[in-house]
Amino acid sequence: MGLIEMSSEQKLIKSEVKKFTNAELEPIASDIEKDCRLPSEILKKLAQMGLFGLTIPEKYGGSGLDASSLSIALEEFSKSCASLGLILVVNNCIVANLLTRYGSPQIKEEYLKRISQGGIGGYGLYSDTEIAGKTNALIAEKDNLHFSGRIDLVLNGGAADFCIIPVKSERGIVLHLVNRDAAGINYVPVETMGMRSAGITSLEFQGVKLGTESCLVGEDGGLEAIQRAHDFAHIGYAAIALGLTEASLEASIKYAKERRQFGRAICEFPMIQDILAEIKICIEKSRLLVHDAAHRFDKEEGYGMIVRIACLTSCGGAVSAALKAIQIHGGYGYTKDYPVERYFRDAKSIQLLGESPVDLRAKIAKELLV
Amino acid sequence: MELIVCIKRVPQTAEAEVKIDDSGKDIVKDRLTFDMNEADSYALEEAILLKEKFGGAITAVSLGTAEAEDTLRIALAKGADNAIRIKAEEFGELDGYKTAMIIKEAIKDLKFDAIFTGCMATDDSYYQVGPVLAETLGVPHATLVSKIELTDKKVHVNRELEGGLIEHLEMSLPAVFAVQTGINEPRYASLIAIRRAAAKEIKVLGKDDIASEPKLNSTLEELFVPPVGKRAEFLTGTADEVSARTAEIIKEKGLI
Repeated sequence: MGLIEMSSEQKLIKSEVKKFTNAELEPIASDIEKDCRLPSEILKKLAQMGLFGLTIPEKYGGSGLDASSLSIALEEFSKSCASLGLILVVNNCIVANLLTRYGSPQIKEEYLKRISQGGIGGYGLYSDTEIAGKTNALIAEKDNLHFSGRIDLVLNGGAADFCIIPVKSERGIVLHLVNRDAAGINYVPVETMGMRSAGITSLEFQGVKLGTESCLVGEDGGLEAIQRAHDFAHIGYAAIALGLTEASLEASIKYAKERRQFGRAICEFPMIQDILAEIKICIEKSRLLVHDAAHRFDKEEGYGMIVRIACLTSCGGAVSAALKAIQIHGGYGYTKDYPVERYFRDAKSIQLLGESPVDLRAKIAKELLV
Repeated sequence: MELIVCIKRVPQTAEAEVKIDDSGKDIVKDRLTFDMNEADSYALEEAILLKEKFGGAITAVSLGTAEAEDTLRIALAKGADNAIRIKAEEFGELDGYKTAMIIKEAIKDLKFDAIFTGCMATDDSYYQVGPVLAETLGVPHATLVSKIELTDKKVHVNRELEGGLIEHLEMSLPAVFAVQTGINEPRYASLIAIRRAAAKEIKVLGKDDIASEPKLNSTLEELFVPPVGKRAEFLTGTADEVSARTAEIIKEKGLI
């Protein structure tokens, strides 16, 4: 028995998600990525399977599963379509997590049930890194109930029914909940390198009223809530990256067996075998870390450092594996005739959507030096 | 309605490299993934659709090793109410006839209005389980079923024939239907249903629960990859040499 032993339930989840991705996603993954679209028929089926509300408690219509099960589903799902994996991470790890933990009974009843039934929640990425004096959060204007400004990156913005946004106040960060049809807000598509079907947008605000009724987390707890949600999201990002690495390996093996040079398949060359072995090592390493991180998160036992290590290893590994896969494909790897260039763009995106590798390493070091 | 669905767990070989093992009678399965036989998933869906329309209960039955319980749990998650695994490991070599007879022994005391099977299993393609079950249970059957409509205890069935023809039958219940792929769109199991199915009990039957062990009707002698035939001969040489050889071949084949 290996270190990772899936329960019967988890094996069934993996098998059913695999069946879904092979039949429904794999054939269209490249096309929907090129068109930057979210096929509604796919979203409907995902909702019926309960993937949108995978971690939402059963009493709110969710599947009531944990981070470990989510990781298994994401890994399988992202082999075919990482963009849709990202949508599930944002819905489950960030939006549903924040609503479950901080929402009032009324908010939980309304918004969690909406997600369970197939609704999509958006999330305005908060960053306290200042660029030319600008942070990625709304800043209160003189009239402290009406807000104008812009959030540069909103995950799931393209199809979100509602959105959780960070608003900077004097004492911290407040998280507000805004419906898509609220007056004065405008979602603007953002052209991204990868994750192009994930519906990443920016969000413009023009005199939008944000009062106590829309407040999800007050300024005393905003930053802590964000950190906790981001920790969970980083497990999801790592699982997506793991799926991408597996996809890179599968594509590389298939191509290396088919492609002939100097009278034999290129998989017979030691250099190609060395690269394949490297990618496989990366997969096994990442999988152990992702499952360990998810397991610790579920048990709520000192998960912060391992989540960061898992994310760094898996996301970095996915970028590296995709580059290796492109190299094995030679010039073809650079074309859209093969999926490996998409794996690279998606891998680089997932590496950058969470905290930067530098910040993750800094946090690991900080914990080591306490 | 009381419905029974026969389900087989089979290796997914459509896009995999298939190699014959050392015994020469089986394939190497180590690196293959397994799933519900494709036609069986359509048979299950058809039963679920009937249950949703007319009520009742579905019992899923599989003759397989312990791993087949995973496949039965997917059936439970999709809409089956009960599941029975018959321990294949206790019955030695199986052919289509023996498989059907074992299943028949296992279900003969169950009340049923209809039994659904896939029209064939993708691993051995025997096409036998449905017809043998029906004949030995003494009920009518239809194979290659592409449509089922139920009205007042009469069933209208379409069968898919070669050449694009459809045969329309009227049958009475109870009956056995060997279902063709494409008859419906099989649903995916929801995660919450998988959670519940994972905790459900699966009844397991062994050799001792079967009155008498059925005999094989055929014995598997050998599995082999057919030799690749000589499909084309490239003629080389000068124009005279090539034309002379062409004339020779035509004469050899008796064409002139």
